Amino acid sequence: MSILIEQLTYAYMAGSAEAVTALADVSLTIGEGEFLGVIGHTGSGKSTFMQLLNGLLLPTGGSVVVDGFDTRDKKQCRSARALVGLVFQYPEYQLFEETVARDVAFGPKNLGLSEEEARARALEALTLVGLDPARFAEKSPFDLSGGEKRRAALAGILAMRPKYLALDEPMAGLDPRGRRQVLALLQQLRQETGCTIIMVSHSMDDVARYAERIAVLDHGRLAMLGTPAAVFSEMETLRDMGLSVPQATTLAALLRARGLALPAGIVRMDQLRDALTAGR
Amino acid sequence: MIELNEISYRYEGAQESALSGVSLTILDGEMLAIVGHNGSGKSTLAKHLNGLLTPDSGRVLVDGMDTGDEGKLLSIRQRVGMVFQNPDNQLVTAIVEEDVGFGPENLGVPPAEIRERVDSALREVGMTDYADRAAHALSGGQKQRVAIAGMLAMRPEVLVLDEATAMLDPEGRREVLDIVSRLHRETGITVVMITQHMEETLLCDRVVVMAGGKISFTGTPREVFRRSGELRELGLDVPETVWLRDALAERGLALPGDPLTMTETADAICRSLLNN
Amino acid sequence: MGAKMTLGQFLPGDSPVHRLDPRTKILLMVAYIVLVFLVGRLPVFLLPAAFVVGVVLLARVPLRYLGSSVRPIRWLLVFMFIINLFFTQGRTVLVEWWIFRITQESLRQAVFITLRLLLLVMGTSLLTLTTSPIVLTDGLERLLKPLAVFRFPAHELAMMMTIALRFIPLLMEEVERIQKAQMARGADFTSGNLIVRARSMIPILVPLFVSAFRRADELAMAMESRCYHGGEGRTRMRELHLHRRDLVAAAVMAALFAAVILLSRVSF
Repeated sequence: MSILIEQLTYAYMAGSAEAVTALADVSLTIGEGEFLGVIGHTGSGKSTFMQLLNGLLLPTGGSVVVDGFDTRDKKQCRSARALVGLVFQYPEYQLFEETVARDVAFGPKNLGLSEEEARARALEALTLVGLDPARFAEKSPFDLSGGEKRRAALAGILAMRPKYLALDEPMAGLDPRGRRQVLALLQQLRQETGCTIIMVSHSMDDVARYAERIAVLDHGRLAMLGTPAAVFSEMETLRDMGLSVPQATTLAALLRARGLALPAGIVRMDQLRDALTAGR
Repeated sequence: MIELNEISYRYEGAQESALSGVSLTILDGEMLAIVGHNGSGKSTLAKHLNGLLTPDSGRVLVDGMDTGDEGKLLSIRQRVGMVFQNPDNQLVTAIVEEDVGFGPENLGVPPAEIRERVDSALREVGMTDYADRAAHALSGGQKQRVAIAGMLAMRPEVLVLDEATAMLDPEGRREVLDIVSRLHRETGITVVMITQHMEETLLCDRVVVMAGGKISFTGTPREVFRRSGELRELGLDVPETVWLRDALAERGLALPGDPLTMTETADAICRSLLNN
Repeated sequence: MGAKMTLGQFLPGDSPVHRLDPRTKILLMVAYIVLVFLVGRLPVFLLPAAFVVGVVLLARVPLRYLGSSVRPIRWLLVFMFIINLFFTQGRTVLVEWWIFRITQESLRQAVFITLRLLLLVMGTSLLTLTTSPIVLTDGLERLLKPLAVFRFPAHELAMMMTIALRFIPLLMEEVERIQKAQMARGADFTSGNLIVRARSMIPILVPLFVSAFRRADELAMAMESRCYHGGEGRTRMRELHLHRRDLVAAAVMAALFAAVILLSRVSF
């Protein structure tokens, strides 16, 4: 099963004179269990793309089919939405309940689960994101620190047990420790639940470190799709789109310019380290 | 010059002090970075620099004026401009140039001179073409540039950036950093940068590392990143280049001269490989 | 999209009407309202109507904008017309059917009231069509300034309007964003009865208030950092000056007044 995206097009205010095409003719298949990084300049259509995945926005052309459910069909759209958990930018701004546990249980309850089941799911999700239920469940979400709020909001989506997790810049605005915690959480999630992750990020270093495949959006079009090594080897093309490459890739290029022979496809510092110390 | 003398501060209802016994002197014309993870006290410290907060004990002197002296607050705030984290929550009026004029208007500057200051401030940050635009329609980086212009129009001596790049995309961050370092270079304005992005400290003359409401250590970027182990213990990152340097050293390939930037690191690697 | 939302209906332009001092325009609008109420005879409505047409031509406002200012009250206009048509007492019966009776007086009254309302809305909308909200706020602050003697908070009021103009579009966007985020958590805002729907707004309203308070807090800090300390000793970048065109506009209005009073009150 997979998310099948075919010739996906989306225009805001479609049909009016002021229609703005945000996404045009994007086709790709997101496989089960993969980690897909989505990169692109601000305004390239990344956020629109993410909202189309779970039917919050409906295609104005083409289609999105999640495990056989077409988002264009009203009934099927609900099923698709339950499969794809979407985490918005700064998700902590959606916390609203009196206690953390109740807030996290909001999603499961909307799925039609009973009060008890929803709570059980909430506690499980809190444990998963590293917020000990004994300490955090009955706290007000507004008393948490920035990083804790972010993880509580993530738990709110995870408690719905999505098969596909789409995250729009999940690390934005966090301090280094918070960033590391969120990234570690995503890694752990994949290992434990095998859930598919689609992550938009501005940090090329993070994308290079975690994604198996990268989709590059430029002016609403899918400009590139491939492994980090393949995508980041196109330095010039990326630069023209206002994007950079991971620092390891830049450094490797500098070293090659100084006459050093290095293998192709270096996107992470540990790869560079290994290449430099090979044979030691 | 800003002198912080043994200042301590505790937020109302908080268990622990946000700052305890911090002493620091910010010299005229320097570019200083203050780093630390959330809750280390760095933003609380920033809010002491222009009297938004006044210490429970100890004193903050801006050019000899005590921030605890209500009568001096306007002159202190005119001297110490402050740019905050959220680009949306610091522009007061809907039109760019009106917003830039807000500070001078409060200071009672004559209208013709406000006009002059607004025009030159917008020019400094490269936003002249947007003078009559709606602030709402700008990108995050552009909003922060307008916020900086709003400070420049007050003709300050110190520019404090309180995590001003934290919410920006890489392009916006670069725009803001370019402008700040150019201003520092060309006008000699003192810059205090509160940040979580360790890479940004490489632009500065001096780095102050904070943890638990205290100053852990200070030094030039080179000195500070030599202590990468301590930084990691404090929940901070090191720039990727420093990570590589440490990782190579661990495998017996030491890089000479504590390189920090990309070019420095590349040169050091070549030299080190040649010597081996 | 929220980003397209604008407050009011300002049409930027560079006509003599646009360039009039906002104070003049506000005062002229007040005068115009009085003028419309002073009209005593049906044909005299031609004068304020001519004024509206004149301003529209001078300001080069496309007619559809004037139409769209009337659209929200079109049912009110119809309602007023019918009420007056059937419930005004009169002697000269024109039509009579069952309990309904239309008299010459009631017809006259219905047309009169409807025209008055129509002219009021069209005339006043010209002010907002040709004056940016910011300039309007500015003009209002300065007009109300003398009232400070009576402790009337003119500056504070204007500051509030300024901040509202800045933040309302932002909050609109925020509502959209929070709504979508909650929909991603399975929230449903469209089904159920009134009470269910009202309850379903809580997940939007709480985050909205939390965020509004946070914004207010941060804005207050930013304003303090920029030396804001109330209206005292504050200067303004933009100065307002009265020009010859303001005098001309005032003179036109005075002439209109004289004509309306003369034609409405004096019998020939």
